[in-house]
Amino acid sequence: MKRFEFEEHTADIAVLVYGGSLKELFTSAALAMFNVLVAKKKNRATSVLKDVVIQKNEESLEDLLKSWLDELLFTFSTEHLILHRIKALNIEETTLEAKVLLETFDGEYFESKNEIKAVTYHELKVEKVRNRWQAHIVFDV
Amino acid sequence: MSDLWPGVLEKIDDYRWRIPKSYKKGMRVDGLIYADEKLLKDIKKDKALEQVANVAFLPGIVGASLGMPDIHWGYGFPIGGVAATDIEKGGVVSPGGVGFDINCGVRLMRTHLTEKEVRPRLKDLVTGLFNTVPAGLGSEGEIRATAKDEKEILSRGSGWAVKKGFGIDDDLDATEERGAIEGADPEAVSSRAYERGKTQSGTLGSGNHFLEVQVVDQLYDRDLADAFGLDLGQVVVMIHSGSRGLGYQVCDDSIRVMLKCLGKYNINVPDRQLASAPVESPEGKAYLSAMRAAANYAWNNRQCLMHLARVAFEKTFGTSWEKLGMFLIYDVAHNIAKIEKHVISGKEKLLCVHRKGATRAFGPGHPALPEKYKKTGQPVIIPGDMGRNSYLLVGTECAMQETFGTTCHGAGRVKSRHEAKRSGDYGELLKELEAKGIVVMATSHTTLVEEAPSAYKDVNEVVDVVHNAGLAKRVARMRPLGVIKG
Repeated sequence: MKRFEFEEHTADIAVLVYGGSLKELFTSAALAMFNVLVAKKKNRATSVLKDVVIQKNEESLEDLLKSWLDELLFTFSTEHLILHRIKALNIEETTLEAKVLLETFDGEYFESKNEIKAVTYHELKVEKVRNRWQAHIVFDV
Repeated sequence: MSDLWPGVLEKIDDYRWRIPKSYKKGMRVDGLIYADEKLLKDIKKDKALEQVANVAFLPGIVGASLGMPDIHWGYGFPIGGVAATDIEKGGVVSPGGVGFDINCGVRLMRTHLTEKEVRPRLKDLVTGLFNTVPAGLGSEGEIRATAKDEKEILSRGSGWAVKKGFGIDDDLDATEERGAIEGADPEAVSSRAYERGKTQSGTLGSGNHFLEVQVVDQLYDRDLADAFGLDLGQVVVMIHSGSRGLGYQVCDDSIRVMLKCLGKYNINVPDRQLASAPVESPEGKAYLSAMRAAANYAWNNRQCLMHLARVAFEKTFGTSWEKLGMFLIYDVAHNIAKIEKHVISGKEKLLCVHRKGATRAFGPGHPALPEKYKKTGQPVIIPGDMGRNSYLLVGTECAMQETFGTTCHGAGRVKSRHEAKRSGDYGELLKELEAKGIVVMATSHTTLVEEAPSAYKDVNEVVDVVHNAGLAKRVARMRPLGVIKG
């Protein structure tokens, strides 16, 4: 199953992300965001890794999804850390707890693609369509 | 995006089109679009016109919800959108009406050099600029600012750079608001925003931001060109950048707060990204204080970038920037909200003017202009795409009367980034530009392809509309010689 697909948007980047569960949906969203930010040039044997715990509580699933992506984007912007692996991700209603492994950006192994300024509220939507979760996200680039 | 916008559009004249407020229940004023038939065809292809209608919902909006000819689909507000609200009547300020890149803007610096002198050294010059000016994702500036400096940057703007020796007092005179808008409060900026801006002073950024070496290839008004010290064949430098991560975070923080204001102040808008609060409310005031701090960060950033460009020119040409005649013509903000006085139906009103992808274009004699530009009107800098042209224009009295002293800000995208990537190739793009004598260096191949000339409207057509509609007056046209991209 496709995890995400990009949509046409004149100035920004719009993406539809999918998942069988909320956990899968949020994972897909994170993968889509890093797909916009960077591309892997080649694999490396050792990479500098960092464990990060993310905890969020919001009023709606939309806000929770934005909050989750915001946190990953913030770490990327300030410490240049890229998502390596999601070790644990639990979502209960509108509360999220995650353990993620991040790796440092290195121009030799990664190509920088777009700078994402923000995850916008524009047409932000999380919904269940025929037993699958789906979210629509617009990144300002 | 193949479906055309289905709404109502009434032709006023060849350059003006109205979306009547009856189009959508909740619109408080009409929408007014500046475009010709040709540009309108592209404009109708995305959701920009619907967004013009949505902006007309904002409480306190006066005149009309405006769309400039470079208008395209944004988030909440369209890019190329202008809206002014009457503060006295509970008018609101909307962070989405400024955008994430607060005080994204452009500056234009002239040189004494001619194309003939630069051409043989162009590759060295572009390489020198590329190595001196930090660009691209995660780039960090060589110009270091301590935590104390950061606060000073947020309140003093470009004045900080000048104090550090990265420029001269004349640079401030040639910057909108003298590079530091009043009412900025560094304390209103969150620690996360500080964190995102910390290492980014003096960095270009990515996306559509650039530094270009250009040559003047057409003059439209000899007297005005003389007033700005410009002649045919003369080389100029254009810099397009903004408030980097600091501004993005200020906007994001504020939208979060303002979403809660929608219920609190009974504001009804059709898109959450239009979240807003009355200008006079605590939330409105807090946003404006933080936004102004971010705007000052951006002015200082462009000042630092210009300093780095001067250094790179000095290295290539082996003489001082003063001897190279590298003096700033002007610096304009094109993503900002300003409190300004304008005459509405014969009465002077204090308005909150949102310019989101739109440039202030004050006419001759306006008190906000520096002495040297009182007669000419405000210089307006319009960048195009990297393969075609850019422009220098001046503000007009007509803009004062019709658009709160505002004109367009650039070419405006016509193709999505996705489509540009699908139809473009990095190698071919470089070849195409090289054939035109343009040297390009970019950190990201992806960005360069997404920013290909074909992804943009023709800036010449956009400028024709604002010139013919009277919203600004053409002075000079430039074309690129060298391009640095993030």
